[in-house]
Amino acid sequence: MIEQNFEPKIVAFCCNWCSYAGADLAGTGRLKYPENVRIIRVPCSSRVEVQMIMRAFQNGADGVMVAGCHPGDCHYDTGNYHTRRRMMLLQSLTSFLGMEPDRFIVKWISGNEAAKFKSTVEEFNETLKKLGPADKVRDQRCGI
Amino acid sequence: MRNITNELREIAEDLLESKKVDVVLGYAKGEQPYQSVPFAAKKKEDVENLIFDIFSYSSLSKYLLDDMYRGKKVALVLKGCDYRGLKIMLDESRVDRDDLYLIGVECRGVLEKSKLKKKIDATLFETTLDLKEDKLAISSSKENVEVPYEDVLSPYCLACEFSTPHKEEVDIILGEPGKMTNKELTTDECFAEIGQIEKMDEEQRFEYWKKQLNRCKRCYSCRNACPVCTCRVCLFDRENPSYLDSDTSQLAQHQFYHVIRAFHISDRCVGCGQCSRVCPENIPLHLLNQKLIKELNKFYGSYLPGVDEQPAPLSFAKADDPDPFEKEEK
Repeated sequence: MIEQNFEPKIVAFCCNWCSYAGADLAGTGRLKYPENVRIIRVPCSSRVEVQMIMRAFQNGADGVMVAGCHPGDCHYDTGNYHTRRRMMLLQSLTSFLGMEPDRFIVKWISGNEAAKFKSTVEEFNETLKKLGPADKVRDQRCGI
Repeated sequence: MRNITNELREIAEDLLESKKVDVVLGYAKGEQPYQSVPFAAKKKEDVENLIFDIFSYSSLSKYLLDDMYRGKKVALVLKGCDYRGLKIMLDESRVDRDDLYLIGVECRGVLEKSKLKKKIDATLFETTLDLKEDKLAISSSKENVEVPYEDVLSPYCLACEFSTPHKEEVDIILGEPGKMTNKELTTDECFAEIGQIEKMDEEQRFEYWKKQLNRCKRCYSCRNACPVCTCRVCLFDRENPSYLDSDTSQLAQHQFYHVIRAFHISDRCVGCGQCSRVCPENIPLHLLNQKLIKELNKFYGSYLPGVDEQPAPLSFAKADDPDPFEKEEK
């Protein structure tokens, strides 16, 4: 059963150099994006470890987004290539375990793509609203 | 198949006598039928307990990380998969090659006890095994059956591509090369369950794994038995942040543990199958590892951890890797 007015909780890991700047620009440009996204700033998208994502799901996130620089634009040259390899592997593993891989997305958003940040979050929010609460991957004791 | 136990004992005695090594790590007969347990021969008298047979499952290389063996000269009995595990440890400078004397053995696969039990009515206590050239003869007071090796060998061994350490890499090699079965099986055939699970829809997959993972007692046997799971401080032993607690009622915690465990050894797994073998609840953990190996091989080219000299697929990344995340936007 999907509850009425379900507002999903989204955790977004944003790379300091691109996606966080993109989100910042969305703010200064007064673009309105869904407020249920919680942004965590990370030095690089490759800083995001698999356990961070799993931990977010365990403790109440309905969706997790990893946002980094476009391939080729990484501040540290190759960081997002590593992200790509790792996250692809994680996605195939979670899908193999039937853990709703749609709840986890990876996007490349650069510092001036405020509109893309907005549309990505909106789109993801809609997907999660359709999917409902993430009961399959949540620790039931987390109090959410 | 030639029995190498006697040769092994001679070598071990020689090594201990001449003080070349302080201890010989090998296998001895266990208390259960068809069980070989790790055994450390420290004196000349211990040597007669050493054996090597088709039930010598466990990898011994992880004992080297124990404080007990630090700074000592150790001789090690190695099958192909054990060597791969050790090679990863050597590459990471976890152990010093100069302190080791490696006794490679020609492995032709180990027997799977659960498969063996299905073939006979009698209990394992009552049976005797005879290893013939292409068949295994099982005899008990009730029956005499002959089964081909591929029916009773471990599935991991049927898929094995590196059954014996290379001659140049070990100090001595025992036995003669050859395969126990003539049937060549591909990895997909050996792990047919992966294909079956992939074909299920998401809900079925979730239910399947829910049933499997909910049995987990979080005993960490799979982690401890794994020859490549060698972090100095394991993520699950860390106290800050402490990711898991002792409550085993939450599926989310099981998912967390098994996803992270499989992921952390994804490009290091040597495919020995010890994780599933030691699992007291018979959770098919090797399927997670094999699935990841399959994905890695599919996208980044085939790579055998502990054999190939090239860097592991997750230790580097390239600009022209496939990008599954941008596709939908184009």
